[in-house]
Amino acid sequence: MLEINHVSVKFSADSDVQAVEDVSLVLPEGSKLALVGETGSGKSVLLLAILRLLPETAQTRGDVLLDGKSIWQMKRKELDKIRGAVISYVPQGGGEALNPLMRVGFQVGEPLMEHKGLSRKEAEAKSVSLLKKFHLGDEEALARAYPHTFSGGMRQRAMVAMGIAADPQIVLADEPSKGLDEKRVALVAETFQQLGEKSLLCVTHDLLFAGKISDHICVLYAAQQVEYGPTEKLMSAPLHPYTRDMLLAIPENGMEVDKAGFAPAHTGYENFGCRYRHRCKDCMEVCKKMPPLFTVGDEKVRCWLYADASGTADKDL
Amino acid sequence: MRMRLEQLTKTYKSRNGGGAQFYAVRNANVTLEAGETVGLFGDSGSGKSTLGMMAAGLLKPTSGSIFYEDQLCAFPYRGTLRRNIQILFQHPEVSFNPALPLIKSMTEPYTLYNLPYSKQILVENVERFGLHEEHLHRCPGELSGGELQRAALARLLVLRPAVLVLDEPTSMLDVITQAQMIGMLRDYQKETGASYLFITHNRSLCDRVCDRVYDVEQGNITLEE
Repeated sequence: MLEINHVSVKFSADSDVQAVEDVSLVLPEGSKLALVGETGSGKSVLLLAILRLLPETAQTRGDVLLDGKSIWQMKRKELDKIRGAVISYVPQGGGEALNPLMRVGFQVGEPLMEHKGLSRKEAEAKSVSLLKKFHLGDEEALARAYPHTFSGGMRQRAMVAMGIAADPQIVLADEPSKGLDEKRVALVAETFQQLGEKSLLCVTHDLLFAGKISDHICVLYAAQQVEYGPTEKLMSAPLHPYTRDMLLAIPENGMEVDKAGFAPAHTGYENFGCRYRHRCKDCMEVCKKMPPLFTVGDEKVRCWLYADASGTADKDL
Repeated sequence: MRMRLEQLTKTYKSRNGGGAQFYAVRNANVTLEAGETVGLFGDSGSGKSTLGMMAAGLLKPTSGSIFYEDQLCAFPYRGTLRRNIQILFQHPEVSFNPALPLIKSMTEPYTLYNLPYSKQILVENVERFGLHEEHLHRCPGELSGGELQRAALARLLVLRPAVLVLDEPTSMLDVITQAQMIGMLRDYQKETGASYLFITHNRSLCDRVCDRVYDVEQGNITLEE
């Protein structure tokens, strides 16, 4: 089980940019959670922070617990044992994370040599069967190829294969569907649906993809959690105006959006009030004050519209 | 007719096929009327970007011809032709020099084409795309993908192009930013009657945005009924 407790991230001590602000999440064993938000909302930074992959200048507060033990307090050696073996991270992008000078098969099999003590030969053989799971076609030849000969979609799938190579309990994936065409997105979704007992924390900006792979969704906006709830409920009856607007902006739903509205800059958040209020159709006087995270049934939402519906604001927040 | 691609073909030598040719695009015929949005729909690797690059004059066709306003276009495009046909890339971060603050890249169209320039003109321009003066002093790495893509569009439209090749302009963006970009493109089209060649792999987006759609499959291009 992975617990994220009140995590905040700033990029440097003297920076005003608040990348993540007081986010708390729990990822029980076998659960699938999607972190949804627009570019710059802080979702990728949160993911990096979990395994302490942020630059050393980053200022973090809060804690991340793996089965009750703090990952952030671990020594480097302990951390190395966890990374890739217990928690793996699948980076974003069309494969900039792959080493251009090494064959794909070697890179996919590397976690097995590192954590499972396999020889290079065994690991490379295993990597072929791993790649097969992702239907790349002629996996034997591809394992011997270099990353630049792969298309973006192939690199993406190779990176997911690398992520699950050492059979981790928890997979952290950053935008695994970004820039892929629909067939490839469906393949990645299928892969994630086959994770079974593994837990998944997946960052994405694609709500439809999130709907396919997760049982819960957490929506981030301007560094904060604005909504959290079961996937089906959140997709069919969103609570927060931002989630609603996001669903309306999907091409299938008509792409109705306010052209003028953009997220606020990352500075000067103090006394800003609700960060969505300039774009919100339901904006009220009270929105000049920052709403707490209200609990409505099994959902959480940061919006004054639900002040009466719940009355139980999260005391911690 | 604004633009016409005739029997456009791009081949590459296959590396291990012993002289065999790989057809990235094969005998493509595409027409583009004024004020029209024409879709190129296909999976990754189907050749749609190659076709877009050729239409934008960035890639020399192996054979075939391109006509703009019934004039044969010679490769590479020069002068007004170069200015009238522009391309917006999928990855906004490749559109900008990563080492330069945004303002240096954003002034390029003004200097290249001797357009009246002042900082105020530039700031007013980017503000219509939801960016602020403060953004201009940052380097590309310090901006989000959505911000950069809007900056790329703002820079392009300074030239008032008549044809825009849009190579997956929104596939790296979240849905709200995507809808906003589409809205901005629509406004420009209404205002100027520009034509768009819209490359995408998103079916629903394609149906919503395009007047006509060509299917691209393994280099073969067919008009959808």
